[in-house]
Amino acid sequence: MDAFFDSSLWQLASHLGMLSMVAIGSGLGAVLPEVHRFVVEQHHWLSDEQFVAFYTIGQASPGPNFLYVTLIGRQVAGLWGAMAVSAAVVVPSCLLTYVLVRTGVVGGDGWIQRLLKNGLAPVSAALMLSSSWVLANTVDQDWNAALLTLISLVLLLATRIHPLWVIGAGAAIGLAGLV
Amino acid sequence: MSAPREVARDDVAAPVATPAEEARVSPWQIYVVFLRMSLGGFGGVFPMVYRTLVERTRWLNPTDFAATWAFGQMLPGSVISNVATMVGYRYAGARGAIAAVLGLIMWPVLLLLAVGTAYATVGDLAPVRRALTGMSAAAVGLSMATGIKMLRNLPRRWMHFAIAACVFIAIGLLRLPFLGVFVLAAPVSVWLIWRAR
Repeated sequence: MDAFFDSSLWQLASHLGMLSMVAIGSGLGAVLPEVHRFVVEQHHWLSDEQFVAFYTIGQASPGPNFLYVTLIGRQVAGLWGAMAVSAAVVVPSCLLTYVLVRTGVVGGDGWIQRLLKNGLAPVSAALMLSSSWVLANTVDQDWNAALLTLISLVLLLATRIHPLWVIGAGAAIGLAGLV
Repeated sequence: MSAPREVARDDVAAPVATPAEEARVSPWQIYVVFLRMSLGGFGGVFPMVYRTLVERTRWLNPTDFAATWAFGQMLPGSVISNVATMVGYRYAGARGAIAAVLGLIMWPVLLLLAVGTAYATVGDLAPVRRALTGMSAAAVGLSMATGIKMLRNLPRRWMHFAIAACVFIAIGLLRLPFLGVFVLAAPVSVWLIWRAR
């Protein structure tokens, strides 16, 4: 049993599962700096490049964006790692939501929910920005990449362009050897 | 306590009825609807969720949607899987909730497994690495844009921006441990903003 608790599969799944339960008011994108610290800096399971590649693939493929953790799980502990990590980030929080809906705690009065939502909004925004800052530090190693990030940011803020077009254009620009 | 005033002004409709109050939908229908939603959601599922739940199936009206989404954000975990749990339960009980969550993640997870295998095989090839570098640089812009939009939606009060700045410095710049910062910052932020109203 000790061998199980020492395994990278258990450590990864339990840590990410715990993080998913802490990500209140902010969703799973916000805990990215901690995921990066845990899998890249502390355990060296992934290189910086792999981490960023997985995050990007998760953004670009269909389905919820938080599923980039599935790719991390696969890298760390194979098929079972992918399954265990995916379940770890989804099942506990869904069970909690189910229990709260079932018992009527969620869905009644609005003021506690509003208080929390307003109170956590600045923290959530800061966590999201921290996530992108950590990614930018890893990805934007030279001026060309930083410029591409900036162009993508401005396009997404100033126009209603679909994000997938921007990511696709990034792939084409990268393939052409411009970054 | 000025909280009740807040409720009256906001008029949040209770979004989650008991299953008996709703026309029943079969778990299989729920599974299919969430499956189509998740596979259609390239680059983030939010626009697809609204289109599917409000405009196509009419399972939620816009007010219900806003309230359900707010609850999904407030509860821990991914917003979209919390929303799936709530909507699935509302229309078909526990089996509906399971069907909705499975519909949402099962095929994307299997697809990512295949993509992960492909990456393990060809990820070191130069063209793949170049394309991924370009994609990543663009994806960082997407992530920044989301953060800036969240910042823009904050009330125009210095307190909110001061809290956001402190958390960003602690986690983004100083890279302090996430848990410690969050456990400290979350209650302090809620308290300060409640006090400042």
